[in-house]
Amino acid sequence: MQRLWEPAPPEGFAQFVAARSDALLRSAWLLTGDAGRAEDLLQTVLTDLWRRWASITDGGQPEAYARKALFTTYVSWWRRRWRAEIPSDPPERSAGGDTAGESADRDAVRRALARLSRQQRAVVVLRYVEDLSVQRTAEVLGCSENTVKVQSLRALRSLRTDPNLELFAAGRP
Amino acid sequence: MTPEDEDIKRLLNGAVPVLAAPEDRVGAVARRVGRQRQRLLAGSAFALVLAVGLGFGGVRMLGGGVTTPATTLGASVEPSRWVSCERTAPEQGLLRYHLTADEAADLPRLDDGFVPVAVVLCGQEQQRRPDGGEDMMGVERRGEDVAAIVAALRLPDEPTATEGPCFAMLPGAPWLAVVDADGRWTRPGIPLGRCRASRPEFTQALRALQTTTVATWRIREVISAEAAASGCSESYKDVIALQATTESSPRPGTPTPFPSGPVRVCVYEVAQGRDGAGEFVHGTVLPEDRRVAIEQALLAAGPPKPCTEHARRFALVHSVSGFDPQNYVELGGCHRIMSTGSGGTVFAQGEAALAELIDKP
Repeated sequence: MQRLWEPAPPEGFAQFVAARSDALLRSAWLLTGDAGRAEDLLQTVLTDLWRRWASITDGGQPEAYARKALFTTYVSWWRRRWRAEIPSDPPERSAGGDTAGESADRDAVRRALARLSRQQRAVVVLRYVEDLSVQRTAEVLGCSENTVKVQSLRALRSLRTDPNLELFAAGRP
Repeated sequence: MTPEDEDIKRLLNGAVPVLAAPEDRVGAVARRVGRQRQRLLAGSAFALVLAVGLGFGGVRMLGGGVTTPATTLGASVEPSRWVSCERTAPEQGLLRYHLTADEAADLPRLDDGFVPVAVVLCGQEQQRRPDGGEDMMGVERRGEDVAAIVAALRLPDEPTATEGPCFAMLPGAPWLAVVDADGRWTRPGIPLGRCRASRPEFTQALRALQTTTVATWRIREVISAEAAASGCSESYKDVIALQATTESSPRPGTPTPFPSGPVRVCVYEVAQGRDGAGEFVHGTVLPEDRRVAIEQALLAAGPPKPCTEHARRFALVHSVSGFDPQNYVELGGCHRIMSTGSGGTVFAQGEAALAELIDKP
């Protein structure tokens, strides 16, 4: 078996991973709907973070950078995953596997989210899980506030009419 | 925060499963960093070897008509021969897949060394079958008069507009690949115009491109033949069950009569594990005698009785004209009726006899 070069992490990186991974992984699951892909997305972002760690920590905002990278990587991720130029390394699955199918409710949310476009899903997670304002959401995604509002409206319309979700409050007059 | 916002927040946060972390996430990231560095080194070495090789052999290749060993080069950079959209772009089969202009622009731009002889467009379209049902079909189109579109693909992005009108929409882009004479392919980035949509030159060239459909394949059924023939939706929200879970139940009341004209009945069944949505079972426009009998039974319905049983089969009975009322009738369980009309939404109590009248194929 080939021995891989395994460099030592930069100072403070391991602590950051320990402190922030759970929250980032939750958002990653909501974006991808799959535990393995969520872990893969998170590790992709952490790998990028590692490479830029010195400059990011100089700016004092590793969490903000990681969050932005998580969402922007996700938005542009599918095409890279499915292109012929896929890197030879397969995504590493998380130890736990995907437990989404164990709950009908969870699966309903996962399927409802899967029906949204990637931008809409990112907007919904940033607005409703990360509790970001329209302005901050726009900053993270690198788009206009108007785009966030439009995507948010479309996403809500889709969730509201999703037959699998009990979002009936939305239908109240 | 509105009640709807709270609902969404609760749903999303409650949906995330317990996610097991790998034993050593930092180590896993370290190995990725290591592999990236290895690839970088390997790429540099390959470039060096290639440069040395060209230094020795380049003159002979240019002058003597000796072709580059394309297969060897191709093999070194992935399965580079074009196969099909179905295999290469499976994301096209996802519900509501939408490639944005920004995403398309992020792809690496067309290299000057790559000489396309064909453009392949992967897309999907809804097609009606002879039996009236509809399928979502994957479609692969190929165009070979590519000069204009290739020229447009080689253009740079325009500077982003800082003033002037731009539509506040999310512009899309086609899933496009270019193929060279050896059958190798790449997905080039599509240059952006001033409004962050694809450049007009590209859009015009794409519109002018003559293409031939070379393959189609079925992705999924959208509307069954039976649903299409009856005018019913393929699936429908289990409205009564959902309404029963909310705090503000409709008041008891009597359904209002249908407007003049034909009435349609659509019957749905909630599959195991699919609470909240019913799948189409049968439906029809009612003949006059059945319409009269069902309407009379609806108008005779009394106030709802306390009951929590969940009916797995329900019907939507409504005027073909689309005007109110819309009557949802449980065909089992509590036999409840929910009727929405101009006076609001009311709950009433149906009977098994009404269910029998309705649930006839």
